[in-house]
Amino acid sequence: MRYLSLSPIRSVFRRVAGKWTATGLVVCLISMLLLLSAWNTGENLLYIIFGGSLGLLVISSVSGRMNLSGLDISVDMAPAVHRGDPLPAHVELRSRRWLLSAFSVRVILEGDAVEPTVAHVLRVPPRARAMVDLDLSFKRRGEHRLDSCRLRSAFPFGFYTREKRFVLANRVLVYPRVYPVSITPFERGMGAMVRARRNDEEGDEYFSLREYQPGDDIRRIVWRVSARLGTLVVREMGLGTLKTVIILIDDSGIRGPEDLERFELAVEYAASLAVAFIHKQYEVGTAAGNTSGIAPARGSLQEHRILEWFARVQPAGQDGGELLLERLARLRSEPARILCVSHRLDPGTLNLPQSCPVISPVEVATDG
Amino acid sequence: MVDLRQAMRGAIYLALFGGFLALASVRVYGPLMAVVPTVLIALNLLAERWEAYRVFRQFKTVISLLYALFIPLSVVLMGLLQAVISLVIFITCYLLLGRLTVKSCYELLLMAFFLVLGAVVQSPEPLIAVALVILLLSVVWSFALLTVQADRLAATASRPAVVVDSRSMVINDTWQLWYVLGTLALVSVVALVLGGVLFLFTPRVEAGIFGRADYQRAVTGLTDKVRLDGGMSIYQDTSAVMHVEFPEEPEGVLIPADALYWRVTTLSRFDGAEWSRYQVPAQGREVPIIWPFANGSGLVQIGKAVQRDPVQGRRLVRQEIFVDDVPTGALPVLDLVQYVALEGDERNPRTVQWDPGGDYTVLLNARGPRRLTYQAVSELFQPSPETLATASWTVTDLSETILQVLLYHDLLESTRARIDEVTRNARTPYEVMLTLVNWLNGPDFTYTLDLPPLPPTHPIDAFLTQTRRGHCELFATALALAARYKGIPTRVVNGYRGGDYNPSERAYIVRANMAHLWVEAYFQGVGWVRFDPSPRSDYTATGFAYIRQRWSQQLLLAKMFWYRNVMGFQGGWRLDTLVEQLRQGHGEGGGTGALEVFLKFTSPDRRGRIALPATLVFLVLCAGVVLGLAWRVFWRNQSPYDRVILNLHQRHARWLLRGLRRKLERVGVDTRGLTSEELLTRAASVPALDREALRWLLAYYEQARFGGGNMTFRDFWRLRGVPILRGAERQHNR
Repeated sequence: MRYLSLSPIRSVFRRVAGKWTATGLVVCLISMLLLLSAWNTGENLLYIIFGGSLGLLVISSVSGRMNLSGLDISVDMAPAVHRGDPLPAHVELRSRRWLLSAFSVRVILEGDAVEPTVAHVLRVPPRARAMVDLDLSFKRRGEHRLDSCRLRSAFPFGFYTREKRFVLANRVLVYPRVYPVSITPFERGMGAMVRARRNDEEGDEYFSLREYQPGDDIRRIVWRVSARLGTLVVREMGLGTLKTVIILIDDSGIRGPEDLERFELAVEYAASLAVAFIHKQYEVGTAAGNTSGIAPARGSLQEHRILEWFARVQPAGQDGGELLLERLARLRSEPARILCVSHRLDPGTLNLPQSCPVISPVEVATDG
Repeated sequence: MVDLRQAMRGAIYLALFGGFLALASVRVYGPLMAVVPTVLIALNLLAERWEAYRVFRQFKTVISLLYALFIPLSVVLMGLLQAVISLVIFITCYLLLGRLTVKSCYELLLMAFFLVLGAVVQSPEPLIAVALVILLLSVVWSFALLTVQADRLAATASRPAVVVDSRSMVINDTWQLWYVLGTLALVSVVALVLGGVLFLFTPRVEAGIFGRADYQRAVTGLTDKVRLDGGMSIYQDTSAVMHVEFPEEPEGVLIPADALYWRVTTLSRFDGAEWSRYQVPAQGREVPIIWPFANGSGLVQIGKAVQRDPVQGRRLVRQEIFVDDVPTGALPVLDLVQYVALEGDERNPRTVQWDPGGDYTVLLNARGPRRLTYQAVSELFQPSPETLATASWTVTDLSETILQVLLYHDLLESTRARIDEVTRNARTPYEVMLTLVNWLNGPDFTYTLDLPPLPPTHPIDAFLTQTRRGHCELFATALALAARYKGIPTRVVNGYRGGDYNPSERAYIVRANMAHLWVEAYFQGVGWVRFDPSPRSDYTATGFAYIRQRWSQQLLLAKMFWYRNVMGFQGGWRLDTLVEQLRQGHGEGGGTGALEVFLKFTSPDRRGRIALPATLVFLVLCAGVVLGLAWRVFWRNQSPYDRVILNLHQRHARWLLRGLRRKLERVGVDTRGLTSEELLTRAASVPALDREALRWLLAYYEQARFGGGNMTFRDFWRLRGVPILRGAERQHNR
């Protein structure tokens, strides 16, 4: 990544004002009381103590202002991560100063869906770099951005806290969490559930021989058998066990936070299923009621596309059931197995045809 | 290897040392105060380990509670400033007897600062300069290192930062830390220099910007000397100081009421701004005759009582007086004292003596608390105006030396002229005195406790000619000096005037705000006569002052009761006198039997035999208490499963079960860790076992142990005799 720009108005405000800490307020108050007492009594010792406390305040103000000046940062991080996994962010603090070091600087990274992460740098010498590795952990999937990186310091005495804020442009795509899922039950059921049917255009398995009918593709004529039988015989192909799966995510019927939570579980399960199928050389595609899906394909690139799609898929809201059914109807003409993953506690409410198994992650979780 | 935390700890310790060193620079505390932080620091190193023990934490809590209760008492005993300083020291100890956290370090720095402030207000020695330097340097380090430590603790990154210099070489942590410490050293020097510069250039104003420059706050009361200059505002302290009964007066009321003047000390010498005592030798027929007799050099005998011959014709008034704190070494007694006798324990070494000055001052010789009960007899003496009018100007009763003291004044020419003008019509000394008293009591003068500042020289001139506002000290001094100027020997008397009569007690309560100064003038052939130029105060306590007044009165009465009837209790049954009486009754060495043994045993030469066994018994009791407490603490620290609290019935049930277990173990049944049901099952393998009996006993056990049933000791005793093995006689009743 590159060096980051700084909003001038905001940074000027931060540099000049700072923020009093409780310690600083107490010292200020004590100093004022000391001055008043010294004026009232004329006691020189009180003047001396006042001079000392005022000196501390002056040094704190001057050196605190100087401490963060001349510091720049850069942030490097991976563009994507799975939810809950740590995302290492490499922050480099660079000092443009020639003479003075910066002391006790806190580096704070923060953004939406991520808790502020703080690193401490004891000293950044002049013309030097300090490199800090922070682990960011995103709580939600989706596309997020890091808002800002702040440098904060209360050095030397902790009376003022000064801050310098850098606006970041980093974006991170947080994939849903993927965990190992067994697809064997689906493989077993796939052949039984899918009605074997004729398909003149597709199919990779031999189905049967029959007499030639006008209109059949002449490339399908089995010449040897036809010569033997003395009549034209064509080869008829069937679906057999197709290795194409479309995972349909039920994004309808989201009414409240509980539904939303289950929807997230469903997305994670669906993503895990998709990855498991891809790893077993299946062609996997995705679909949802309200979102256009991804056409089935194989390979690691498809895996990334699928994970990206799952990272971005959002629920359709309370309604959307009709859209889901429409989508399903269109998908049924595809030569693929369709697995529907739903967040509903009772998937039967979807009223999907029997040919489309509905998996509820809640049930799966219950069965282990 | 440098450790940040150790450096921070060292800085805090140094700051504390600076605070205590500042206190040590105050003479009142002395150099011993500088040793205190050393002890506390050593304790802190140990306390971090002790903090893990709950007993230690509870101990700290108890001590804190006890100290919190002690705080109001400490204010009364030590005064506000000392009480605050001791509180600060206590808080410091409390914080050091625990783990040092960032928060507690800030608190310790604050305490060190308060210690320095406490020293500054008490006129410290030059050693405080060293303390201030140490404090400033250590504060710089402490704040900086605490800031770094706080920043470190706030970090959530799991790996530390790596710093690379301009040559791409990694800088290690130790070198970083040394650099930080070096920078702090530089900053502390800068802070020292800057503090000095700011001290020099801080704008100053006339001291007292919020009040008078030499403004002092005083409280009504008595002192050894009376100083006249300096402005002050006097706070009326209405706390009770004396309780006086007149047992021989009807209803305890003294008549006349204006005779309530309580002399404490007499001040004869005036040096221009201050009255002080002067040892005027005994003169004339007013010489107090000391009992036993005085010798010629002026030394007097002292004892539990002093008296003098009363003057014929004067009325004697008896008083019983309780004083909570005898002021200035002299006993307050109704003027003119004739006899004083201390009450209380004969073994108490306190004594009284006549002051050699012959001015009716009775001195108290005592160490420690000056709380006192005494009896006194006084003469009421107020000569008639006719007698006083005949006194001549020439005083021959007093020697020249004494007259020189009693006539000294330093009034200015203008003041003297004014006095001459006021007394131009007075012909006799008595008329002069009366004229002066009336002048001072007149509309030209105002009695007030809010005094304007008077110049250090000729303050009375300023009072008489300019301010004309003041309190009794100024009025009395003005009268005395004016009379001296006119040739009348005068002195002032320090004491109390008046008293609040309490009908329920039939006694008078004298309060601190009744402290007063009046004048005595010497008249040839008559003696010392009292004149009081100060108007009576019409002060009435209201609000908080009234509450304080009532509270102090009750407190005085309670103290009286305590010290008279409890601490001073002399009656009752005395063992030693009983033994003596018995010995006298039986004769020396006579008698036989137990009594004789007892008498021999308790004879004085064998007192050690009483002391030794008594001491041993006492020590054993103490050891028992300590062991009991220790066992209880240990028991409380045990696992809750190990310290089950059972009631009486449950305990009997448990004994019963133990007995059953022992019986079964004798026949080879392993009963370890078995419940009663399991016991029954396991014991079924024993052929000779009476299962019904065992089941019945176990049911009884369960009911008492867990079911809330009763099992008295009698039940237990009965049940333990029930046989559970066949062949034994059944003796129980179903």
